[in-house]
Amino acid sequence: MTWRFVFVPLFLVMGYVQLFLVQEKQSMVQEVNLTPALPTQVLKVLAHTYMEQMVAEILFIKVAVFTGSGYQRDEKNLDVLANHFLAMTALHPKLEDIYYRTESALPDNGKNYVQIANQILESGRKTYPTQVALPYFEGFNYYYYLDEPVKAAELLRLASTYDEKYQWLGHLASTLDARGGNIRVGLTWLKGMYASMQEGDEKERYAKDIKDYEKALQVQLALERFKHKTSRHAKSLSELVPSELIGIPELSAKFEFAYDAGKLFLRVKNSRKKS
Amino acid sequence: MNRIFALSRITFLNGLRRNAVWGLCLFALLFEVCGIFFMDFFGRGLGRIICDFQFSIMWTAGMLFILFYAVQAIAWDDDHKAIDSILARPISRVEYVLGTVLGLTILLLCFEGLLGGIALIQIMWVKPMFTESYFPIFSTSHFLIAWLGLQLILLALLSVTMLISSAIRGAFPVMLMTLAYALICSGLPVVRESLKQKEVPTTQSLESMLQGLSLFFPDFSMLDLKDAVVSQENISEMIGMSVCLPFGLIGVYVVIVLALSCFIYQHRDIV
Repeated sequence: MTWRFVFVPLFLVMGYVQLFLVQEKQSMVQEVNLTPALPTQVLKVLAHTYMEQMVAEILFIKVAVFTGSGYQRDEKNLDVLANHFLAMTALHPKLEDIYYRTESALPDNGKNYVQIANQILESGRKTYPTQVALPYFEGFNYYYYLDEPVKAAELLRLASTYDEKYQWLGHLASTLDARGGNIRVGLTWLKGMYASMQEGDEKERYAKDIKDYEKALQVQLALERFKHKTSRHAKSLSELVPSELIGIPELSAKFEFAYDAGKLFLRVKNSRKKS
Repeated sequence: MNRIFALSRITFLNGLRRNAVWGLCLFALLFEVCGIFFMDFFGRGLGRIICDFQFSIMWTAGMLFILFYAVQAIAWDDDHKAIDSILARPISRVEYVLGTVLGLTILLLCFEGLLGGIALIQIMWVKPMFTESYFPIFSTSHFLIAWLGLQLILLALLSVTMLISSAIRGAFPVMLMTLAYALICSGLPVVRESLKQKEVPTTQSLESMLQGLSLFFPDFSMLDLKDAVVSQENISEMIGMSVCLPFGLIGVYVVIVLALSCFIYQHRDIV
């Protein structure tokens, strides 16, 4: 009788520990998946209004743990992840961490996710209208992932106005404007920055850039005149010589022209982009 | 008046004797203190997150207090003979309602005051540990106003519980009805917001009906002043439309609900 009271509980405990260890081993091998979040409206009702922020923060912790693990970047997981970010933004738009985590987790996975990330960052900009990181992230996404340098320039220009120390973003915006063919806007902004700067190395650099922009603008105007006269776009820049230009202006070592179907681009030489 | 205070004192002391209330208090305190470790998951806006967390704990504890203790204390059924013995004494039913609500309110305020005090001490202790970029602003006066807003929400729920128990016999049905009321109060603004954004087709009569329903099921989010604790808004600017109007509105709502409870108790047969 006494043996039964000792051995039976002992076997039960040992059996339980064994099963637990097997379960633990299995969970390490199992794929990490993120369970979908409930629809935002349902979460709002369940959160009883007062707990909306807390629910968003719990979702954030869930996402933080998931993105910190070696998760499979398949469409299913990414869709659920994007859905979580959207739910968090709707529940608690003032939680800054959402925007930083969104930028680190979503855009690198394809154009769909870049657009979702930009949508989230845009609502972040409405909540934090003077937070420079948000338009910067959005602008970066437009340039790097979506190949829309003009749209990127617009956002970076906005970011440059937030504080004096971010003025350099305006220069970057002008470069992207020129890259996207919006040379006039880029030149105007650059001239504005030049006029407000104090004398120094930076001002000299800007002066050199302005010269290149002005040359590019000359070529752009020549293209417009050519189009107006011949009702077609020039096949190449050399077609503008000698009717519209004496010669194609020589740019500094920093920039080069690019031309495609009537649109002139001024690009930084050897600048690389995600393919 | 003396009878009201006497009954409130009995109700208060009765609550203090209940182990469940102390257990709830202890767990809430533990959550408040230990939950701070979850802040490691966040990189920015730590002040806001800590305040959200503390107020959410206080709200949850208050709701559990109302749903699982206050309902038991208020409800009258075969298991709870307290109402019979109290009303056998020279105390009117109106005095019974007011005395019970007052006692439970004082108990709730003591409970929430303890949680709020610990939360405040914790926040003030933690704040100097972070640089300004992570926890830039914290205002004690805004914290107090946000805490008062929360207490008003809980008081409104308590008065509605009293109203429901005046009409319905039994603790469990009263608890379910109170929970349903809370869900409607949180769901109605969501529905109205969806209609406003034109996510679903709508008619003027539907919008008017929903607006009318909001009179009976108020939107308690107007008393959610958590954000103000970490905002730069001046206190005098805040105590204007942000505070006076919602506090006044819900205050009057509580008075009306309690008056209605008194009326129903006065005319209802409790046998």
